[in-house]
Amino acid sequence: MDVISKDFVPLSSSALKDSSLQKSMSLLGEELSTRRKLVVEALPEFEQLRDEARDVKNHTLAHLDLYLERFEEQVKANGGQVYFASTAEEARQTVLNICQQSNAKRVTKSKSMVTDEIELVPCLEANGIEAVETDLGEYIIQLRGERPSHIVAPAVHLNKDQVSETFFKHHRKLGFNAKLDNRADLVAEARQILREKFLLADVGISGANFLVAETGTVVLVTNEGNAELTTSLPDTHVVVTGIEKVIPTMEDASIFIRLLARSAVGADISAYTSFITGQRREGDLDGPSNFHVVLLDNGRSGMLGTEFQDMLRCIRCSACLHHCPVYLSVGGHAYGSVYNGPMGAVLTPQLANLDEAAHLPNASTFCGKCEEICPVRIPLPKLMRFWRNKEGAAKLNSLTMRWGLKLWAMLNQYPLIYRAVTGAGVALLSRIGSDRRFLNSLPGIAGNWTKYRDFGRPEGRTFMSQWRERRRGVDD
Amino acid sequence: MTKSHQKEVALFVTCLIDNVRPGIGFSVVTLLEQSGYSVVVPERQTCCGQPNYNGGDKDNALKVARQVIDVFLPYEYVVVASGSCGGMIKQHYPDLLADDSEYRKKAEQLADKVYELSCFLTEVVCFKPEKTEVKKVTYHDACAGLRELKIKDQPRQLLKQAGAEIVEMSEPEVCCGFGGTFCVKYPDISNRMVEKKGLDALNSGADALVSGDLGCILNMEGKLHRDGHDLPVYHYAELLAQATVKKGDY
Amino acid sequence: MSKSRLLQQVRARLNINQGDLTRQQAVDDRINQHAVNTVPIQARQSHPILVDLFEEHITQSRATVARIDSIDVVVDEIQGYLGTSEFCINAEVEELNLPFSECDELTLLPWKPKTSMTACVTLCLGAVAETGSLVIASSALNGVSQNFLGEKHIVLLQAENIVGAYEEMWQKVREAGTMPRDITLISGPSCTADIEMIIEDGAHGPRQLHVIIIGQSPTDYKPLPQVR
Repeated sequence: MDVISKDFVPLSSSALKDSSLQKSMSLLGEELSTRRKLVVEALPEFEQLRDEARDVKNHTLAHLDLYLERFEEQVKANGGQVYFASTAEEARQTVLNICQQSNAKRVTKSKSMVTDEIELVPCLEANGIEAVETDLGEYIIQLRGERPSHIVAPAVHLNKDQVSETFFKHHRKLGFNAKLDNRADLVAEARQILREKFLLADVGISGANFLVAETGTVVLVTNEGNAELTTSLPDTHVVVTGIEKVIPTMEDASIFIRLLARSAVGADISAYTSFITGQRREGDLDGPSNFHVVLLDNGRSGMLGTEFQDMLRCIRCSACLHHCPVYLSVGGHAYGSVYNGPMGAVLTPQLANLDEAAHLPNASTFCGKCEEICPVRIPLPKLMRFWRNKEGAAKLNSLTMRWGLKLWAMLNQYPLIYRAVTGAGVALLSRIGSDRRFLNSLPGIAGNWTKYRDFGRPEGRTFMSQWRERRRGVDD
Repeated sequence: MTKSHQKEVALFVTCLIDNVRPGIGFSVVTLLEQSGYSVVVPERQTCCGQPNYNGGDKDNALKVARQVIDVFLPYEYVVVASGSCGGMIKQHYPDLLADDSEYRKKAEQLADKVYELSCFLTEVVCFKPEKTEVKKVTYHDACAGLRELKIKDQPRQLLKQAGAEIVEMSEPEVCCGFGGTFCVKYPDISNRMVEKKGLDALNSGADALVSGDLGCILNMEGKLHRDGHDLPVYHYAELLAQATVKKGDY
Repeated sequence: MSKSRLLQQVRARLNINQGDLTRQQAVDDRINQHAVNTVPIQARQSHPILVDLFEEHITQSRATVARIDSIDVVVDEIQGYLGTSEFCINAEVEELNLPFSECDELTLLPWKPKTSMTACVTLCLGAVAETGSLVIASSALNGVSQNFLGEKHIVLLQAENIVGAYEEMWQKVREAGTMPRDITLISGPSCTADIEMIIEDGAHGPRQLHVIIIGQSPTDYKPLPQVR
């Protein structure tokens, strides 16, 4: 997976100065955390459902090979085809072949993070196939040539005026000449344009929120209706998704339906939840004649049997993003990856590589809010810590950091030396800058503290040395 | 030396309190003594190992953890005035030492003996504080204390019993941006977080911002001071122990 | 072959003992039993309460609901909702032989595939009260796109087909034999909050959803028992 996560620091610094982005992130955090809280409070069984979801996912992962085989069997029994793609390139080629074999010229796409991950659309377009994103947020960023900044609401970093400018710039050639400033009008214009695309598409490509092994069913959760129009109108439907999406039964799917929209957008359910099982049946009035499912590995199997396996439970709800003070401070683009926020901090080093993505698991205070609200109880901070351990072991982090930590730990293990060193240090600090209560400048990396805040001057003598003195007085 | 008949509690000072704000440590001692305990401060304590643990240096974190366990296991109660150090010992040591059967067991035993101060004062002691001079306070829930040790009501209960009115911020549970080395590795983001926290505290109308972790306290206090606000920031132990609060210093 | 390569990789990572037959048994058991997990208590109530719950949820999502005692007055209700309008119906509704021709204000147009419509009237399999979700399925009498290409979507719902929980629907589908190509839960009009987090209706599907609940609750309905 291509990432620019190495640029996290400069990207996040510009993000912090972008007042329009800051406003959007503020709104996102407030709205979605409040909405989630309300719907969770209204469902007494929520915690139990979280436990069940975690357990179903763990069971499935422990039997992943068998559930994938069962899913494939069912899809084939319904006349569909399943392809197993180990890499992004294999997945792209498979989809391209399917499109070319059906002479497809026009493709509509409903939202799929996996297709963003493998950069499918540029591949199709490079081969002369028009591929239009139909999820409104994805459509907007496709026009702008941007990556998604959020795994559920890809254009959340934009305000209405930015969307208006984008539509005005790109829709003029289609005969739409008005610059719109009303949200409803913007949605209506996109509706009109994309309606034509839906009706004329040769191939519809979707992702999958879940795959049901029992029946060979693909579950799609949306609000716009674009998934249903993408998958029922063209003659070919291609599903592109990760191998970890499979769950055993329709009853198991019900657990996740109860958790997903509540966690993602603070609604009991999305406007549309579709369960798609293959191609059109005899007599059906619409639906594709050809049904294909591309199951992607691309590094996922590498997490099985490792300390990262828990991450494969992720259902891409984005609740962790909405509650993460780091994500809400800098937005998704700063992460340089299609997967951002806490879940992206764990997934990106795996699907890309640790060297490129090391900032992501490091840029966390481990506040634990993400783990607190994750519907499938992924211990995200713990997994980020595992990445930090790997980073340390591979010596990818800074020499200063590694030696600083080594030195600190050595001092810890020799209390007498520790006391002498720290005692001298605080005595020195307490004498700097006359008798002001606060220091406003510190040297070295500590200068990053005083860049923005003062440092309450140490009292001058350590507790331990004062205690020793007091105890000597008492004991005499 | 006379043998005390009092119950004994061992104090885990924490490296921050030891080095930067020993006054908080003495407030903790006052409270424990007022609760009828004699306080022992084992000499061989230094740090709980969190910087190494969270900094990707598991091997050294293990060494420090074993040392802490050796030093503190002999005691019946161990009290620490920090949710993050308390959480490190209670929650993380058993995980960290999962592959060391001897020390894993010891870590679990130690976990049962370790109490964060407000938990000790409300759950073991039923401490009744004297009146504090600060009238209206707002409380910042330090992350590890809140999420690892479930500290939420305990400090508030104690402050109310001491006569303070709690006025809540709009988001008391949101991280202040300290995060150990995070604040110096990602200073711009940390600054944004502590700025938000500071404004939230100011908007609460409180006379003081209170918390239970010195890292958070130094972070919030330093930011408020840099930005010219005179809202003081205290560890709840200081208020409960009637530590002299020098408003004039700000 | 990429399938065997991928699955081999999965098995290696999971440290599978190929001779272990208990794993396949565990998978077969789980699928064959398709046990019901936790069902929220709000989904396990008496039928009249479920009907009210369905209406409450779906109207909260900005659909509108009308209740009529019998299908005899459904044309009036549809006309009352649409006013003077063109509209289409799906084959399921056609089979009901409703007297649309007696209504001057309504102009019934034949349905054409891949064509937008002013309004479309369809039936549904039923509805799930716990989240206010209509359940539609693809068939020879109902094209999925017929539920999505109208500006307005009117759904006729027999009260007795309202159930409390999703699991009751899956059970009905199992009893019918095979899965249709598409089962969709429709829980409101099409909408998006992709611009500044504010919900706008009519993203790609119908702008308006109107549900006409017909008839009364059955007397013999039993809510799903709690199994855990």
